[in-house]
Amino acid sequence: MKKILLHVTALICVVTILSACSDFLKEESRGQVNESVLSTQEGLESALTGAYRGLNSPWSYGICNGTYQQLCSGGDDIYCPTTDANGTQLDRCGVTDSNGSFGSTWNGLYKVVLGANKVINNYENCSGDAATIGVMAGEAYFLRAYAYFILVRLWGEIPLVTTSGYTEEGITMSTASEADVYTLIEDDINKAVEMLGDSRRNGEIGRPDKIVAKALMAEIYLTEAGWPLKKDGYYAKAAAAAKEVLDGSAAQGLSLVKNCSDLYINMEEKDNITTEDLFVIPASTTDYVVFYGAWSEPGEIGGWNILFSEVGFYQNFPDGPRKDATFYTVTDTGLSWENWADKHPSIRKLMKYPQGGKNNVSNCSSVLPAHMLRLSQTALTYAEAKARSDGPDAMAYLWLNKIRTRAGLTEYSGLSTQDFIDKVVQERAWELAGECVRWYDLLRLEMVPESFENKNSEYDPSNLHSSTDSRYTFPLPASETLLNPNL
Amino acid sequence: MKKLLTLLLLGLSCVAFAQNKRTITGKVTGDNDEPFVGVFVTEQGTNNGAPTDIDGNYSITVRNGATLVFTFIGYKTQTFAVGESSVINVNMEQDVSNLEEVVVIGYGTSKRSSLTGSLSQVSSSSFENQKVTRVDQALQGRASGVQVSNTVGAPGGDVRIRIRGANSILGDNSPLFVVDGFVGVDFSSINPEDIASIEVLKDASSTAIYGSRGANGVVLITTKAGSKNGKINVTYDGSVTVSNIIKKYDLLSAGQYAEAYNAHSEAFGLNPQFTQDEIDEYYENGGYDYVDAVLRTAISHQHQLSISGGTTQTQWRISGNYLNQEGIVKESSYDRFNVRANLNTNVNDRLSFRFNINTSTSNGYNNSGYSGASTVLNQAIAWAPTTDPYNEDGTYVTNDPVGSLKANPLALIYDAESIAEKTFITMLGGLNYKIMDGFSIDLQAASDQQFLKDKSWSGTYASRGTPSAGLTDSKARTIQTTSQISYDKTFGNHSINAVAAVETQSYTYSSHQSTSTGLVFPSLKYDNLSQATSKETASDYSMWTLLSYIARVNYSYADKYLASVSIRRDGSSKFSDDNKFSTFPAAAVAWNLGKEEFMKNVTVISNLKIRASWGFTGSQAISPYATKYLFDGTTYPFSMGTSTSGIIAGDPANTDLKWETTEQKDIGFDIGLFDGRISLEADYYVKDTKDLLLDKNVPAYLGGSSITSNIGKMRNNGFDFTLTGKIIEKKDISLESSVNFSILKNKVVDLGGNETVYVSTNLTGINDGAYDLIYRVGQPLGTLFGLKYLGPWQADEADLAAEYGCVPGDARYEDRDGNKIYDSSDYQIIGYAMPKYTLGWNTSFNWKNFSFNMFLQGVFGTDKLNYNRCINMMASRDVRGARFTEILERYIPGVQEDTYLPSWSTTSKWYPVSSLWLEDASFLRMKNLSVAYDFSVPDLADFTVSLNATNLFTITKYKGIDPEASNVGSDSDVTQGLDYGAYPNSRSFTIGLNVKF
Repeated sequence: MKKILLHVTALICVVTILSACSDFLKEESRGQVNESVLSTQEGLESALTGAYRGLNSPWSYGICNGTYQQLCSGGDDIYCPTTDANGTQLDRCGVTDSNGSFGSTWNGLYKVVLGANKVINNYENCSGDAATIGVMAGEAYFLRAYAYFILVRLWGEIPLVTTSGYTEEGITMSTASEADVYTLIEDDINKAVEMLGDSRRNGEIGRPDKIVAKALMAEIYLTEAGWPLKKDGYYAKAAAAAKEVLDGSAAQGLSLVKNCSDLYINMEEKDNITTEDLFVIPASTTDYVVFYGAWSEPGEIGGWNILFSEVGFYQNFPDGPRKDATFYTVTDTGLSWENWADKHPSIRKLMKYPQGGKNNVSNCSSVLPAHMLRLSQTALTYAEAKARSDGPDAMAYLWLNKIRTRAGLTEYSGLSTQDFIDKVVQERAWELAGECVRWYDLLRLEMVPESFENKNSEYDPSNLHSSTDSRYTFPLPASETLLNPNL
Repeated sequence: MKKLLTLLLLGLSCVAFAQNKRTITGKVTGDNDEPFVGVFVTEQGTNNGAPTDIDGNYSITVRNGATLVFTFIGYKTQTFAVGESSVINVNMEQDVSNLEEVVVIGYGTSKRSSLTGSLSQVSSSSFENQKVTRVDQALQGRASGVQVSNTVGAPGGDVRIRIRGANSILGDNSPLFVVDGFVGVDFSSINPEDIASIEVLKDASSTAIYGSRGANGVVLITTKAGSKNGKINVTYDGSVTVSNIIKKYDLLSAGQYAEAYNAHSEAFGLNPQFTQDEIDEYYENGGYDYVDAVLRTAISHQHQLSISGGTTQTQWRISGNYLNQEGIVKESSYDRFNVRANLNTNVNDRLSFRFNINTSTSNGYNNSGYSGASTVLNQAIAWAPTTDPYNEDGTYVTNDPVGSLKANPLALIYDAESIAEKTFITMLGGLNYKIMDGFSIDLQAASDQQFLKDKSWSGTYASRGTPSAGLTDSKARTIQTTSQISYDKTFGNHSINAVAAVETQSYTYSSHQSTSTGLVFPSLKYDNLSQATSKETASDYSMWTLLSYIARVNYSYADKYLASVSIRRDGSSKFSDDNKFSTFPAAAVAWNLGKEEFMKNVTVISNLKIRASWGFTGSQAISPYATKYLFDGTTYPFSMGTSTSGIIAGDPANTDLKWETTEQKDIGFDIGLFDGRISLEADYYVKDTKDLLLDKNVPAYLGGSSITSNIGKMRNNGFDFTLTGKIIEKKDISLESSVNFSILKNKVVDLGGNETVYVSTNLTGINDGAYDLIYRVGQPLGTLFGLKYLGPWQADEADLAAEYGCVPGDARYEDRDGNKIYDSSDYQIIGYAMPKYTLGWNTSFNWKNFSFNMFLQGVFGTDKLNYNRCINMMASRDVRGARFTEILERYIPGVQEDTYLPSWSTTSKWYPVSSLWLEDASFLRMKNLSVAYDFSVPDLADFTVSLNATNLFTITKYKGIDPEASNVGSDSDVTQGLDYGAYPNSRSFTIGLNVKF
């Protein structure tokens, strides 16, 4: 009996030891990164890198997956074939809330916003080198302004999120007016200009510096001056910001590239960065850019027939080296675009190895940078904003003519203000063709309906936009409104 | 004088001693009169006893007039009064009735007649001639309420096992596998030949003993032990299987393809792709048959050798198994080696030790990754038959100029690899000590170690210019200890069986992953990852622990009135401190009506039992760290060609997560008629799950992904029936048929204030972010959600069609809000994926040395969205040419207008997530048909030769090739009902040989 008691006691001991050992149920989170890192400079830096990531995650989210060009295809420069139901909706301005090309851009830009929010909401309590942390915050403000600026132009009234991530209240929030969104954007870009350094941090081309932020500021003011806010005095503000960029460009090593053909060489062996690049999304073997290559190439050379140029746009485009650098019209075998299945020219700027050579192994993972803002755009922004605020000055003519000369076109002089404005707007369309600028110009200038007349009705399909709806911004994605009916 | 007296007394007592005691010897024999070692021979009413030796001999000194008791578990206890003879020889007889009736329940055993819960038993003899290669095949159709679906036909592929439906949205709904007491075993590591019996616990009173892990039902597997008769048994079992695809795809010929392609181009205002001459030539000479090029007749084989032996004291069994399965898709295969050793030894009549080890090493070659567009089979369909797969120099064509946008299927076979190497080692040691009458303690410790290595490679052609390779090494270890005390005693009519236990489990996982992109020497694959332009490395660690207290009391009175009460308290590391523990009680009662006096006269009824049970089980179906806000790693290239690492917010955390609990009520009865010739088991159950764990989608503007939450309630209710008839029962001929039928109704009762929660799978890559499945209050899991297709716009509806921007022939969907736009406001429920009824019908017929077995499986009341048809006929996006012959039946204005399929037109949108592609996926399938022949060669061995056919035929309206296949893995029940190029099941024939030496 003693023996039995001994056993029972032993068993009870085992039980007691185990239950007393409360550490047994402690969760060990080895190897996991948690929120506390945001109070260190290294952690904040990592979070900032994460914010940039929203710009491009190949095939997943961001504005380098080709679908961003589709979203901008309502303009008269980019064409999406009728065979792709999503693309054709966008191209013909009959966009429904379940359009499948929304996701990448919407999701990516909000990842930029949330990532930037983490930096903005934490940098003041972060330990480390205050100067560097200040510049990091400046980059975050720039990114948030950049992301909201695209979102508000494409979708109009959108959820305005300034918290660092998921909150229960966020699930039921409603949208902010465009005016409120622009207020935040203006705030942010001003802070970015103030906090960013005179040169790119670490000398890295993917980061903005003060002059880049100013160039973005010029674009923001230019847009605020037009539809939908039509703010007074903003053309002058845009002109002033753009002027600072142009005046300071030489000191920063920025200048227009001499030949149009050197702007989009698109050969992976080179870094493809030019002296004209203000803001770019660089690429690497793993973080590649999708839209160059198969995405934008005709099936006749192994492409996917997703993006082309409108035929009307191509035909109205003035001949010269710029036209040659902008369009791809004949394959190596001599087949010209009229005989391609989709009967539209391709946009050479979006192709990989447009000069030929390696097209036999076409793919969609290009180590080529996405050029998001070029000096020539800022130059034209200056010209337009200046003209609209108090008439074109010599500087406006100078920059406009520099761009025209490079394109092999004659110089302008002595135009009426209205004529000058019209010429600049047209020049922007040609100079920045396929670069997701034209659509925004048409929106801010309320020119979408008239732009349909520039199309060649034999090739380019008609406008599907509902005649009762004057807004060309997109409905919010169904995937969001289903989850939050308050939107 | 004193001394003398003492001596005298001593002497007397010696005489007395000699007179009262005597020594008995004898020999105990067992089956076939062979010596029986280890039988306990005791003097009744005393502690005096001795075991028989290796020759079956014993010797024991007992009092005069004593009674000897011969006991051995599984054998009838025999008693002999000691008479004149000093030699008592005994032949032990097996206690057949007892043997058959003992069933394993959690943390103990029970007599079948004493069961209060709902339990199905599958004995090894019921599947031994079917040449099953994995446990799921043994379960299939042999237990009511158990549904086994071969969702993936790949060798070694996933299988979905459900016991009484699915409780959980988030959690894995697969049952818990317990092998020899080790909780949570990967069933693919078990060799079915090693299994002695399988018990399936279904109702809560049976499963609550497994608490937080029992909600999905429990499958208890007991492995074979060695024999006790001192004889060595050697068994060889082998089989060869030939498999083919279950059904051919109905594809357009090259000529038809080219013609349809041009018709599509014309409809969209594009230039024709093919000239008439080319079309004529394709009609004449055909094109390239990619599907035929990637499929094969697969040959698989399996060999198994087991050696067992032992005595009543020590039993051992060692078995080895080799399985080599080929997949019907070329270059896909699975092989597995298994070794198991089981050892039991009784040190004395109180103390016994056991030791089991099972090792399994398997190699899956291209047998995973069966979902999504870039699978071999999907691309074999997608690639245009007019495109030659090879360049002139023999290399692979990388781009299909007209059909698919993805890689060449032949390159995906020969220029890419995906290898999963798994090694499992499970070790278990235990001791059992009988402390005193009725009391015993049992201590067991076990470890399960899993070593996984995944290798992947995509060469120049498969990756189309960016060859890459990766290697992942991971290790998972689970340690379990179980300390248990049991009490088992019968006092007259009262019988008590009680158990109390403490169990701990701790799990740790670590992994290391390396990926290289831009391989300099693609042919070096994953074996030289340093030669690449870009290299990434990652590592991971996770852990969880579980601490459980367990108690149960079973009571029966005269075997008529039975009751069982159990409780388990589980604590899990996954939850925050306030929610760590949860308690899972259960109770059951049963009445063996058949044993009542008043039933004795009702001779028709041989057995009747009524059961009722109630209990709670739970689920901690969340990943570790779900309660913590964490970051994921990411990268960004700040300069061309560089990579800077950074962090990006991970899934949102929920610090308030708690256990999901399921309350289950069950009533049932067992009835046996005509001396057990006909028996029926019937159960009705209701399972209510509350604090339902749900991954709730978070809008992208808040970071997207999903947050795990305890919101909502779900109910499963249903009936399980098993009707068994021993129709013929003669010496040389017998026929037995058993039907099990289950009706299951699943309903989401509450979603914490939400009406609908949306799920997006984007299986096809072209769903455009649409949610194809929803959870909605009042609706079951697997509710399909999309646009409702109304057929093509008709010619006389042109005006109305125009309001939608459509023309006759375009797809017409229901416009629920009348805004003349097909958008998210028009989405509605279009179908239900969860089957309403399942049927398993097993019939065996024995005639002399022949035995036949037939097994039919049926699944009814289930819908599937057949994305295959959508993507291969819309002639857009990833597959630019129509492939299925069904496209010839589309609407063609003026030519063919009475159709189901809409026309091709610039204004006709073929929405993937719409009822346009919805089909009834009910089916009845001849799952297995087998015949076996036994014969004996004297002095050599007993032989069994068998022939087996699997998936012989299927009756279904489903247009896809396999209604059973599905694109989701085994765990989720939410996304069933989607079919996009799942790896189909095969039809196979197996010839088998079993030799018992």
